[in-house]
Amino acid sequence: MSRIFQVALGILAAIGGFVDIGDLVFNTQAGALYGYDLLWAVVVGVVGIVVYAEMCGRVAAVTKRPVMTVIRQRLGFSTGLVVLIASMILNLLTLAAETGGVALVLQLFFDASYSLFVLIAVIALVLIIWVSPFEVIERLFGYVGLALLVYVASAIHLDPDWSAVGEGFAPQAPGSALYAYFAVGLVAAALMPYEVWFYSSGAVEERWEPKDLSINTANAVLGFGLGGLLSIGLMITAAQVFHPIGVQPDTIGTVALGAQVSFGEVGLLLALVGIAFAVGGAAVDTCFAGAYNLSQFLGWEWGKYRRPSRAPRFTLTWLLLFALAFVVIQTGIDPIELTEYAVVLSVVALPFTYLPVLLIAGDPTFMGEHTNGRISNLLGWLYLVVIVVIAVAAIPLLFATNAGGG
Amino acid sequence: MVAMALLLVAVVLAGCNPLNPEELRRQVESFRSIAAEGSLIAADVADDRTKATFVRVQADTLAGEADDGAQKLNDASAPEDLQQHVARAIDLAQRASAALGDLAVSPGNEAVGAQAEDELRRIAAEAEEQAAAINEEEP
Repeated sequence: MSRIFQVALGILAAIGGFVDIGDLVFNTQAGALYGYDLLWAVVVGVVGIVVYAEMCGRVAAVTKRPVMTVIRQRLGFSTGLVVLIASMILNLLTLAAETGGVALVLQLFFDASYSLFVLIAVIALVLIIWVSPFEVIERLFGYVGLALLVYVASAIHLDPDWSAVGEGFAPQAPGSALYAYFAVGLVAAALMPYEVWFYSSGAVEERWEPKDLSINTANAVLGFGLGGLLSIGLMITAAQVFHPIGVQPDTIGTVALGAQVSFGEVGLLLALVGIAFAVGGAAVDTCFAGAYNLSQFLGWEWGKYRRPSRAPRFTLTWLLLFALAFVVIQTGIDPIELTEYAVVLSVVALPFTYLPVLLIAGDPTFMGEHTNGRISNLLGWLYLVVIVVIAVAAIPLLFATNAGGG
Repeated sequence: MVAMALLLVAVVLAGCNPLNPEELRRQVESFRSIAAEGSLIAADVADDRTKATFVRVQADTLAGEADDGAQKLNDASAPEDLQQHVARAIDLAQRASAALGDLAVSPGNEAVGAQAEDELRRIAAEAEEQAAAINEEEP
């Protein structure tokens, strides 16, 4: 039974990556605009992140090095510093967006001032992280976030044309810049670097060793696979509910409405709870990812498993990130728009995050008998090409489509 | 001082570009979206299968979007051949805002929900027709 709980790390990393506030709306938009036609992009993203998450976890278990340490060692101080700076900005913006997202969900529950809920969200998240051990945080946000499985149930309940759904898993050439924008965005969102920064550091936190590699594989496949399944559920639900009547989702309330249409108030409540914990989980992912990255780069003691007094600079970093995120949200920027900018910024970090991981994971000097097999290597290099294409295409598409506005 | 002047120029210039059919069509489609989503919410109010706070907050949000869109159209300078469409679009937005406002005020009232659902469905259909008409008339 305890081994079932050991996939919580993967689930939390996946939920934070696949169904953060921006992805929830983005997946729903994709389904509303294009029906089932972009399901293939979710699968492409899932396979990519499973490949790389497994590598990151394996590297962490064998070498005891998380991703940022690997980046610095492999790419050198200067490049590592650029990645670090980009990562800190990305993590801060995403943390602000996710915290704002939690506040938006609370507002849908309780209808009071958004600003008040932002403060409550920040305080609640800080308190939970402060008092809870790492495993409890993983399980709380990871498992309660699975209330989003209501969208998978909704997708089935709405009884779509399954042959049309199946056709959506076959890749299609982009018919327009907007379609390409969504395809690139869906793949990029699945490969957001903070997922693996968090995942690999979490693996070190959990003291994984080579004997735990099966747990790593289970985490990567089940955890991120579940994240992909949730994305597919969201998209199919949107295709059934919103696409036929021309709804253009751009709020988290619209996302929740999809579950309500299927299951009434119960569906709504499950959706809102799931969204709150998934988005809260994303806040935890990004806040820790930022603190991990800075600490690892500068050689500080780090880790949630350490008492705050034993890792004071790590602790101060994640607290400071929350304080800065609060300031960012107070500017009034829409959390969903904020994640769109964050995805664009992440494009800078993507190749520099995954290339060092691929090089180390394929190097027998570091990995011994646990070095990449042929399939891992092949998929790893294939996806690196995909990542470079995304990195090149994302910003022009952002401008060409007016950030998806058409 | 210079920054203020530049900002003013930018604001003035932004208002100087006349509204084009593509922009108008997109705005009408967004009104269609607002009304269509509102009709889904209203249907669930009519069937008592939703939560009052959710309805209030989401209906308010949608009404605000409709009002913002109507204001933008009102402030835009439209060429003569689009003015009738603009007037009609503003009317649609105002009607949608009113129906959503009723939902926000009475989120638990099934009769209000049923009435709002009918009205919002009509508005969504009219907006869809209008967007198609603008599309056809585009050179």
